[in-house]
Amino acid sequence: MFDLALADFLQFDFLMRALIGSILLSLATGLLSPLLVAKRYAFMGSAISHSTLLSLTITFGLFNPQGPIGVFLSLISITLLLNCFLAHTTYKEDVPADSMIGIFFTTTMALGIILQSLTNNGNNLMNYLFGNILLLESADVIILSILMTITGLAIVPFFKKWIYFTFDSEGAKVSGLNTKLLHYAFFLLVSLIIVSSVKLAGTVLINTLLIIPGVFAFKVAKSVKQVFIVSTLFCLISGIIGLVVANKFNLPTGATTTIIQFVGLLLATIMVKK
Amino acid sequence: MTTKLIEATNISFHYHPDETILKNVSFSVHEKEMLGIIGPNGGGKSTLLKIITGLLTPTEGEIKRYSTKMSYVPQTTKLNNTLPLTVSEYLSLAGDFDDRQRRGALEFVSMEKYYNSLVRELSGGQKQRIQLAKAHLERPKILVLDEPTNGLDSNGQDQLLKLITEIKEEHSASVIIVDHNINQTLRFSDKILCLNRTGHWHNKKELVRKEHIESIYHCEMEHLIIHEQLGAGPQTPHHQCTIHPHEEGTIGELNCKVDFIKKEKKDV
Repeated sequence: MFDLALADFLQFDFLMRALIGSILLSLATGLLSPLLVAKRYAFMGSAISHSTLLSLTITFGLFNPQGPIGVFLSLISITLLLNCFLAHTTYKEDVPADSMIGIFFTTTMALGIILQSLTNNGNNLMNYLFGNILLLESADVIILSILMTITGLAIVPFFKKWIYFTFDSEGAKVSGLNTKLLHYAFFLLVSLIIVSSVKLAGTVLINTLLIIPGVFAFKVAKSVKQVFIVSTLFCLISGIIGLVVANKFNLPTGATTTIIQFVGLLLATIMVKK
Repeated sequence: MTTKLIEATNISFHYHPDETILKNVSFSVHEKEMLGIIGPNGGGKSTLLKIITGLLTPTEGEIKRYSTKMSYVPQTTKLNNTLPLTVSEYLSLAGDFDDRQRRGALEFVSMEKYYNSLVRELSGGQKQRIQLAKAHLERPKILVLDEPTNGLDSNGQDQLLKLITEIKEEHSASVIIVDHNINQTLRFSDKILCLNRTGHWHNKKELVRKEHIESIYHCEMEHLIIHEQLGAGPQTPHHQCTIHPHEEGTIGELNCKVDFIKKEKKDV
């Protein structure tokens, strides 16, 4: 099966692009997922990913940029603008974070739907909601590789600071760590990853890739470093298997990867006793 | 003359304008000084500590910190239980400390056998001790502690406060401590601040008098403390408990050292 699958990947450029894209996306989400889960920000990932629906409708309804770079720049600008508000309110904690995220989530989606019905621009939002690897161009892979590099450089050299920020936020702040910067940087990284993966995984399903690897890693790993290694490996393996299976049985890639990750998590839950 | 490390000027705080938590609190703390903050529950003690540490911003007034080297041991630890961090790994988050230093800090708080334990598996009191060990490693100039003696017996409380005094002397630090154990706080602190939301004696620019503490605490509680300090037991006649104002002291300058009680003890 794998020989045949490999032949397909070598034969078709779009499959090769999807494979490279999946690997890059897995490396980035593998690093971010444990932080997202540990910070109890799983719902925040959903809010950001769903706010991209509004970004998509504005992008295609009002700007209609040409080429993947134009689309990405438009999407990321609008998403970051929207999420600055979310990052600010969750940092201040005037309103409970989950309530704020819930309000943000539904309001941006509602605005997106209204705008979509008004503009009716003909773009197929379904492709972006659930992903479509046929839309993936070489420029998207380049964008993903740049974002993977940014994520790696933002997390790996400052690993101890991220752990301190996550584990003992108050202590870290009092000790002089710039927790505000880390909070905003985290929102920025999650937004970048979500926007860059809309074609590969879709806005609805990308959140799974940000949550399940972290939860899986916390079930399996015995130390903090192991958590991040397991999460990244889990992302990589499930991403590749998802792509191969989706190609073999002609299934949507994002949804297939989600189910494979869920099965992996289920097995870990059954087999790993802590 | 020792260096001033913290200076608060007319600090007020409220979450809602109708409900003042702190009003016009002013004080200063120098190096090698311990400020004990006492007062009933809901008096604004923990809120004041959060303002001192920068976790909250006062709605009015100003707080100046003359050093950025600060450590905070909160009343209830908010350490993340999802991350499987060992005690040793937690201590290393605060800086580049080698194995010997980390073990030393744990010995300091009698927690050396928990070096490789997961922090999430420790009790609340143990976590607080680990945080104190971390504070010791950080060599802070300002150490802020919120009820660190919770859950300890009187011997344990005494030991812990001696450790805190050692940190204060060793690092020439200012220590600001909130504790429900008034007796211990009075004994170990150099300065005392009584908080009861809007009523706190240091703001009234008056000399320290017994009635100021009475206005902060219930009389019975205050009575008990003074009797304990006098070492004479509860049968001591109330008139012997009179608190004399400190000779230098105005309340506003917070020069009210606990000597006034110690002097009483000598008299008795």
